[in-house]
Amino acid sequence: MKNEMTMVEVDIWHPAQQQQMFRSLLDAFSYPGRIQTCSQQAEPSLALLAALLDGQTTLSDPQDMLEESIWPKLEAQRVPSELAAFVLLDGSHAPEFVPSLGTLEEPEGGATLLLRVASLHDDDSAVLRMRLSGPGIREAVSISVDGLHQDWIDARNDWVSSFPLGVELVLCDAKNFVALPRTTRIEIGGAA
Amino acid sequence: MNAHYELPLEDAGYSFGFLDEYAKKEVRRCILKAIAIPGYQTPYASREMPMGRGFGTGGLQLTLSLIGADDTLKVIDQGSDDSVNAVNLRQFVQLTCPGVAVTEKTQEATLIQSRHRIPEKMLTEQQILVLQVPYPDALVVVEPSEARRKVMHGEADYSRLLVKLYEDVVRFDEITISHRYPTRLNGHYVIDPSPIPRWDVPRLHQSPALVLLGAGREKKIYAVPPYTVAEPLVFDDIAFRVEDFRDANGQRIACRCCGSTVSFLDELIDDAGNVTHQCSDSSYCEEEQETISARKQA
Repeated sequence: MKNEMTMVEVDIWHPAQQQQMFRSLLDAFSYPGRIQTCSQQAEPSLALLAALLDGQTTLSDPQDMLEESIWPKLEAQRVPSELAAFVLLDGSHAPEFVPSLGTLEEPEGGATLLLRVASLHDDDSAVLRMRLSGPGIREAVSISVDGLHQDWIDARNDWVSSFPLGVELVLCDAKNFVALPRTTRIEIGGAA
Repeated sequence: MNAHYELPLEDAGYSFGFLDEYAKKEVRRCILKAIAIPGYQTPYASREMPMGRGFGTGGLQLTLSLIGADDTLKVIDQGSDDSVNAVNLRQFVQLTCPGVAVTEKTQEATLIQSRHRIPEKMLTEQQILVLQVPYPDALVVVEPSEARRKVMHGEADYSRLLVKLYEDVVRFDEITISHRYPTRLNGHYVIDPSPIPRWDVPRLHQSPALVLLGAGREKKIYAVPPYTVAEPLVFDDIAFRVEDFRDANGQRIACRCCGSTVSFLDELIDDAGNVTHQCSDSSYCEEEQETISARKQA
């Protein structure tokens, strides 16, 4: 068991693996709503953090989802959720804070929220159905999610309502992830 | 680049892609924000590269942060794979990224770094186009202060830019911008699409491929995401026009090499003063010629 754990960790901390992880995430941001499969054995949420973070960035983990031993490897500075550039969260709980949305002059200050959900589906089979359109989406697509509190989408739609301010959501289940940048229009329950 | 030059490997050596992992991670985080905010010039640190700023270091840093051992790279300069800038950058990537394949064929490439052109062949979703940018801000002609330009961009206030275009119309009956034509993305930010000709601007609109723009000297990264509305800035009653390649008789001029009448042409003037035209995209031109000679043989 211990060996297996070490193997997993070796994977996600290797620069070549991080490059591949980044390219999957790049596809996810370029084509919102397309569910990407994590090529690594680790959970996508952890592999994505490993690929993106270093000592220059800030991370918040208000629900203590990360093991303490991971923090030194991520190198990120620990800050309150309201200020963090990256926030790792359990999507089944309703939002309890307002993340950084950036400013008019510097909208890149808006946070990236990684929400852990139960499962992602590219059809209507799960509880929370979303219809997506906007840049990167040629024709509106539908995805559905289990284990995501609907308040997240309502709050997110509020946070992105005055573009260019806003937040990016990355929904991760045990194997897959999907990105919802601030430009994506999300309609809840939209019939396919 | 000196053909015999070798990277000094005796010390710590260089990591894959020359840049250290911290530099790559910073560029990668900026790329993601740039895609999420189409057209916004995301600031980044822009590391020192072993070539002068202004020689494509912005594009190169994007390429080196994106590239992996399974990528196939194409580098072009003004449409040509063989000009000095393209050859230098391609050699540098080959030197620092072992395992990366290079190609001159547009359809074979997964990553295309370009200076001043978009390849003639339609790009696909499997490709990423990286453009080198000398001047990233379209507003710089009307507002010298960057702080004020950032506010104007945030508010999508482009009235002064429109006044500039209007003055052109009044004085010359036409908008006189030949390249770097200001283009509005997703109804908000106006970008300088790098010095591509007007011909290439409509191809940013609803492009299947991601387009990333990197300015090394000005330290900015911005993006045209796939399937995004990209409209050249115009007036309702004055339509946007691309370059006109018709001769005095109204006939479309053909490339002197491949005979194509649908490509962007370079004008060449020889010592005797004769004017001829040739495709600017050398890889497209060669392929057209091969198709023609294959047809002749058949």
